[in-house]
Amino acid sequence: MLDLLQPSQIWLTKLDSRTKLLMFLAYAFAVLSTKPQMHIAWIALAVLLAMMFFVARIPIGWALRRFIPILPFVGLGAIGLLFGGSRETFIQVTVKMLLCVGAAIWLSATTPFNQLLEGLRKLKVPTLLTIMLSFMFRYLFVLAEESIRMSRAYQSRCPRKQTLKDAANIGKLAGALMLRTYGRAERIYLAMLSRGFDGEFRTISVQRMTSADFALLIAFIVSLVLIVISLR
Amino acid sequence: MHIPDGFLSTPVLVATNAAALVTVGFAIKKASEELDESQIPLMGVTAAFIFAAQMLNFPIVGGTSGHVLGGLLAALLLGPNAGMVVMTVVLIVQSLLFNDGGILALGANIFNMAFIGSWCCYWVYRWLAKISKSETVSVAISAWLSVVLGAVICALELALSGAVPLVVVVASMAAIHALIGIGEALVTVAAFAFLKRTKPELVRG
Repeated sequence: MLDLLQPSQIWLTKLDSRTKLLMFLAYAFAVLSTKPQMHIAWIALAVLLAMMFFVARIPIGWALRRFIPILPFVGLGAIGLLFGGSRETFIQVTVKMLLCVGAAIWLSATTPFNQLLEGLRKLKVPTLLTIMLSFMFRYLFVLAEESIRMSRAYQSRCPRKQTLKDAANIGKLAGALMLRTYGRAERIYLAMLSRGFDGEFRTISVQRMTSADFALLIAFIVSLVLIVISLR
Repeated sequence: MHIPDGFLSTPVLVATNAAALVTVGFAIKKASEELDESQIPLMGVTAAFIFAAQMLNFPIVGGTSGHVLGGLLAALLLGPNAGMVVMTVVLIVQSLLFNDGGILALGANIFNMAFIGSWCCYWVYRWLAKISKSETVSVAISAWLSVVLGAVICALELALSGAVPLVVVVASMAAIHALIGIGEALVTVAAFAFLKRTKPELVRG
């Protein structure tokens, strides 16, 4: 689950992250604007998405695993179907979820997170949020590995079948993890002070919207509009 | 409980994103007043901690395993406003980095899990602690509620979008999460008691 795609050095990762964010939003809105009987438009949108995946050279296995979180919602739709929901609605919702999540997977596969953060900063997301996002991204993997290690150590010393009673011990593990987190946060702050931190977070800006960004964005939006309007 | 994109209808998306913008804006404003800059690293790393704590699985019933969501725990550690901001950050990272939960549906997920599951349930906890005089019971009930309430509101949003019949989705989501909530309550109570014993200055509430 923690497995991120190494961004390949292709022209897609060099585009401004705002371009790709806007492409995702345009695609998702196009998908949401389709009506239940627009099957051909869905196929066209799926082909467009497949082309985007192909251009970005995203490994299929990696992408498929990222669809797993939507399975409970497909299941929920299926339960609704069993209890008198319409089949048309179920198909529509499932297709829309697959297309939208596919586009989101494309976005996270082609855009390194620090670039996405720079894009969010430029789109005027509150500073406190973007700073916390960058802290979280920096320490996420460190703490996740610590959590996996602690969990494994617990399981190896607890050779019986685990029951709900273990939840209390998991709580203590979480508490111990928080103590380590707190110690880490203190050290991080001291390290920041020793490097001259004065309360202001300075960030560099490396991304620019170039003519290539605008050209791709416009071409993409025009093709989405054409698909949605002509195939209704 | 992380709603993906494509499930919610446009009116529900607009309403939930507006609600999330207002509540998160309020929480950010309040949190910036309460905390000084030395606590920003703590908040950021606590967000990473909540994410990591969600990886500690425990068995529920019949081979299925659950994990803690940590909404109430975040609020107990940092207070309701900073706790809500932390949960918002966790949800943004899960959506943008791991595709767990939609990007357009972020507003709905933030409303369900950060506002209801963290901010609201913290005040439920404060109220319970006042009337019941037992911290453990109050933590347990409000941690259970943070999961169940979040799931019920999530079910309502799904039903309002017209994707699934109302009674079915509310009943099934409430039933599943009433079970998951028991695990959440046990883990939160144990973590809270452990931290209160070892480092009392770390927990509020």
